[in-house]
Amino acid sequence: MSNKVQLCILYSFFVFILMTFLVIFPYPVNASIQGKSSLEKAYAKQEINCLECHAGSEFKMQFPTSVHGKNGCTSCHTGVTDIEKHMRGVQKPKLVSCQTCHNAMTPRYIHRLHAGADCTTCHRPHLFIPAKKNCQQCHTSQSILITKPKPAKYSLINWKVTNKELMDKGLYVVGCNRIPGLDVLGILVVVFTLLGCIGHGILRFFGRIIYFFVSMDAISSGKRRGKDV
Amino acid sequence: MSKKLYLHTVTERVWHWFHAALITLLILSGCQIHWPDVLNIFGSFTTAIYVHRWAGILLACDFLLWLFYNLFSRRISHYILKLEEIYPGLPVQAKFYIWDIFIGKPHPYAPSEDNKFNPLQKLTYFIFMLFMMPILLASGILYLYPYFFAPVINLLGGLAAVAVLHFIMAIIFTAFFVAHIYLATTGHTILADFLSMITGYLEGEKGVRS
Repeated sequence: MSNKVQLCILYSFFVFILMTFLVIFPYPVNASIQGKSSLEKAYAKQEINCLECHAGSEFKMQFPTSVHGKNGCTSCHTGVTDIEKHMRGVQKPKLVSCQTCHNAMTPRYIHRLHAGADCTTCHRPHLFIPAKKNCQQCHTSQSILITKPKPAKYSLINWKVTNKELMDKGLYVVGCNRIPGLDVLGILVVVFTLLGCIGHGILRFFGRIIYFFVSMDAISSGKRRGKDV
Repeated sequence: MSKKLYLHTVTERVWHWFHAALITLLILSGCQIHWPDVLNIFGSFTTAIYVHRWAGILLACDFLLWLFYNLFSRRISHYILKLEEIYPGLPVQAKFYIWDIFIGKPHPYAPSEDNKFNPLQKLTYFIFMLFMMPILLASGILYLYPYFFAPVINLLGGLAAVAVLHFIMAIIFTAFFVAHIYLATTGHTILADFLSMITGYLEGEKGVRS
């Protein structure tokens, strides 16, 4: 079989394998969040302004320009129908259910929304299926995700995982959790390989020069040496 | 007397450079993913992730291509050590790299069309392609589809364990990458082996296969 035929067959095989991968394991693509119509459905006009009692100045500034800024409070915080009962503590709002508006929250869709995140962000490491987190654990003002990761202390023999508080909560975040000691070891392996190669090259270079002069000297003094390479 | 030896087929050459490009992308994107606070090579972390994942998938397919090509064409024999190549082959070749090369001696195991690798090359490539590469690819694929492979990941000790294994393999391959490029200059001229991987032909060596 000629080389060209071999090449065609093998690259067809390669494309076939690639297509198989793509069909069986659909690659998650960032999908935009559901259309505005479902948000608009949830919009509720209110006669009483909850913000008079319930929000600090920071929330008042941030909320209106947020994704849910155009929603009324009771569109998510349902269950309060009588303001007086609520103020006496008799009537409390129900837990927020994102599915009310984001009703296509199939596992596949949720995964597409979180394509950039590590899986243990929502799934605990030893209990992958089903997800143990709900949306609020990340998408609230108390979310651990908005805490700034601390830069790693680059001490040579630090074998503790960086940002360990994430790992303690069962999260492993790519690029955030790493072992500085292992990083240093890894970099040293690569650097010493490079230095070894450079050293070997220098020795070869000088070796050829020395060998050349030694050969010249031997020839000029009448001695025969082995074949020159 | 100098003659041209046809060492590398078209498939092997195309495969080699495609593989090299993928490994380069994987190393660079992997560095950004591992140290995102220090490096920004691809513009954004997300882009680095996409590059790394796509190059990883292509590398897995590329590895299968290499495996099946070498098995079906029987060119896998180039990677298998013969008994005499284990001993005295390996010590003789090692001595060449440690001493003989500096004093200008010829290659003890010069390439031929039936036997293009010296004993140390055979050993290294065999270990890297048939042992290290599957581990690297497997750890990467587990990392890529953790939802699907959750039972296997749990068996290995969780995603952090897979991540550490993947990092260690990546370091080994980066070191190999450096050494491989340097050792390619140890042909009978500095560029001889690079050119043979482009043209397929190696200008005949003056050394004798002992």
